[in-house]
Formats: sequence, C-alpha cells, structure tokens
Amino acid sequence: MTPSERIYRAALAAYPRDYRAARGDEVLGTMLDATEARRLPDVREVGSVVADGYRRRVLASVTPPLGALRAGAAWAAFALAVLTAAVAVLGVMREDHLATSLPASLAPSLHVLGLAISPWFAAFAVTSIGALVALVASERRAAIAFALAGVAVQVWEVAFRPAAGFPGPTATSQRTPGRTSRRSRVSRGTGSSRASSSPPASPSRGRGACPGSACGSRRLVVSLVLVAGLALAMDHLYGAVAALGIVLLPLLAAAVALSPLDPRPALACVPLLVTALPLAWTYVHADPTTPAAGDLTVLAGILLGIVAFAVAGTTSAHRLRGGTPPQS
Amino acid sequence: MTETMREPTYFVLAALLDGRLHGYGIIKRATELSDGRVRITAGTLYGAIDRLIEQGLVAPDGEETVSGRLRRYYRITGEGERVVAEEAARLRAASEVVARRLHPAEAS
Repeated sequence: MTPSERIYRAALAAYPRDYRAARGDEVLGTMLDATEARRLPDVREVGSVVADGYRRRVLASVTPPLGALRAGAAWAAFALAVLTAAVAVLGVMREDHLATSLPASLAPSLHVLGLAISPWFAAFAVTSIGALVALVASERRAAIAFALAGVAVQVWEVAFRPAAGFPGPTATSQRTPGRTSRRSRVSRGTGSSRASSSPPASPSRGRGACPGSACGSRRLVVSLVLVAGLALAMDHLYGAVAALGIVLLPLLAAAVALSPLDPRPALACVPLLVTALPLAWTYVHADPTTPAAGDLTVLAGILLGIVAFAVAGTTSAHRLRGGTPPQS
Repeated sequence: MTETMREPTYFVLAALLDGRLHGYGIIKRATELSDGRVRITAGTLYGAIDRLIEQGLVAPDGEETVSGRLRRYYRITGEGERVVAEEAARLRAASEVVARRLHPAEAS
C-alpha cells in the first residue's frame, strides 16, 4: 500500500459506515486513478472526501420537521470549529503573559515561527474542535472524550499555576509595568471564578437535567466546552479575541444544541444568547480607561449566562419530556 | 430542477452525454470539456453523482475491477439529457444578454 493510498483510506473514515461499506472502494479507486501522476497525496482530494463524508453524516442524521434548521446548525458548528482553529492560530500570547503564567522550563518550547503560543489555548482549541466535530458527526463517545480532555487541560492549568490566584501586585508589574497590570488583575479574577464555578456546574447539569443518556451526554459536552472556553477566553485572551469568544461560544453552544444528535433542549441556548450578545457589545464598547466596570459587567454577564443556560436547559428538557422528573 | 445547476454538476452531465463513464472517466472528461478549468475532486464527484441518481438524471450502469480498483459506470438518463439541455439554453440566453450589449452589430 502506497503512502497516498493509506492517507486516502484514512480519509474515507469521514463517511458514515454503511456508505463506506457500499461505496468506499469505488471512491478510493477514483481518488487513486485521479492522482496516479502525483508522488504525494493530493490535499484537495482528501479535503473533498472529508467534506462530502461530513455532509453525508449530517444528512443521515437529519429528520423533518426541524431538518433544515438542524442541518444549518450542523454546518454552523462546523464553521465555528474552523473559526476556533483560526482563533487558535491567532491566539498568540504576549511574551510578558507567557513569562508570568508558565514555568520557565515550558516556555522556550512554545515559540513557533517566532510567535509565543499558549499551550493551554492550543489544547483547548484542539479539544473543543474535536468535541464539536465528533458531536455533529454523531460520534458521541469521541465527543465526550474530547470534552473531558478539554476540562482536564483546564484543571491541569490551574494546578500548574498555583500562584495565579494570589500573586502580589509587584510580581507582575515588575516585568512589564503599565500594560500588564490590567491583564494580571483580570487573570486573577477569572482564575478564581473558573476554579470555583466550572467543576460543580457541569456535572450536576449533565446528570440532573436529562435522564436519557443521549441528552445528558450532549449537554455535558456543551457545558464543559462552554465553561472551559469562557474561562480560557477571559483568562488568556483579554481583549478583542475575548470579546469574540463571548460571542462565539454561545453561538457554538446553540449550534451544538441544535445539532442532529438530539434537538430537544435547543431552547436552552436562547437565554444565553440574549444575555451574551448585549454583553459582548458592552464589552467591545467599554471605556478602556475605566476597565473595572467593564470587567465586572463581563464577569456578571458570563455567570448569568451560564446560570440561564443551566436553568433553561433543565426546564426545557423537562417540558419536552412531558414533565418527567429526572432520575439521578 | 428549479434551482441553478452548479458548475461541476453541469460538467458531470455534459461528460456523460458522450456515453457511459466511470468516476475517474467523468473527472477526466469534464476537465477536457472545460479546457482544464473544471477540476472535479472525488468528494465533489460522488456528492454530485448521488444527488443526480436520486433525481433520476443519472443511473448506474455496471461495474468492473481494473488492477484491483473498483470502477462503477454511470450513464445519463433521458430526463438528465432534457435537464442539461435546458440548463445549456439558460446559459446561452444569459451569455447573449451580455454579448448583445458589448457587440450590438454581431448579435441579432
């Protein structure tokens, strides 16, 4: 088997199982015929097969009457995953933040192409993209694995940076006086709120709200990705990208909730969107000379959003299930 | 078919007008017919073919295995010929709109 054939075969995994069984050999033959003159595998061929496979998976899981809506949501999730990847690429950390937040032994290895990249952000991007794509592709176990890995990364980061919650004001301002002070104060605030809010919020919501395994697992993934993402966006990317994250993550949650796996608690995201969009606007238009008010608004909004998400998810799931109480 | 036909789909149907072809045959023929402009990839091809089969414009037409590679053949149906002719007429009308305005003497 040539290297090209091996890569093309791997790309066929994007197709749903039954389609792959029926047509996989034919598609592979055509790919090999079409690229016979090439020494290296053709990226366009691989990309087209992966996209077609994803499309078929989405179509296979879409049923009326919400079919078109859910198919659109699935594509939104896919687009957001791509967007997250772009943000990850742009998620370049300022040198001073990296130096204050990481052990010295880790820092040198993180300089890629002259850019200092946060490993935590990269890990979050990979895990959230993985969770999202797996979720839409109905690979539920893979989605849960990715989401748990994302949370593990966040927990690890907190453990790795024990001083983040209580650094003396001089510790950071010594390195880069001026601009760092604002960031470091924010990091501290969100660092502690993340540590306290994320572990209790996610599992209780995943277990309590949905007795069914499909519903529970999907909502668990959504809430884990959401909480990890919000915490990380606030902590690491304070600035324009954080504002993007505040807009992006609720949309992401909405897209996932509407995804083909199970549409029922889709309404759960509406309050979050309602909360987050004005919040993002406030944040973007906040007066930079008085950051304290902006920070508080953002934090309050995020917490409110998470609570609204949890409450609405629970109630809408109950209502849609005919008021059956959760069995825990 | 009320919606506008996408270009790869149009060239898949055009390629099959000359007779039955397998997947790679369609790709090659479409490239020839478009002077190398349309390069259909496998994912695009099978996405289009399956849709066309569903719409009854194309039908599978036998298969063979050549040097270990499975090849399925496809042919255009009567309905497919009608639809692609309709699309060609639409494109011709659209191109004439521009041609008439750029070269009023030649057209008409």
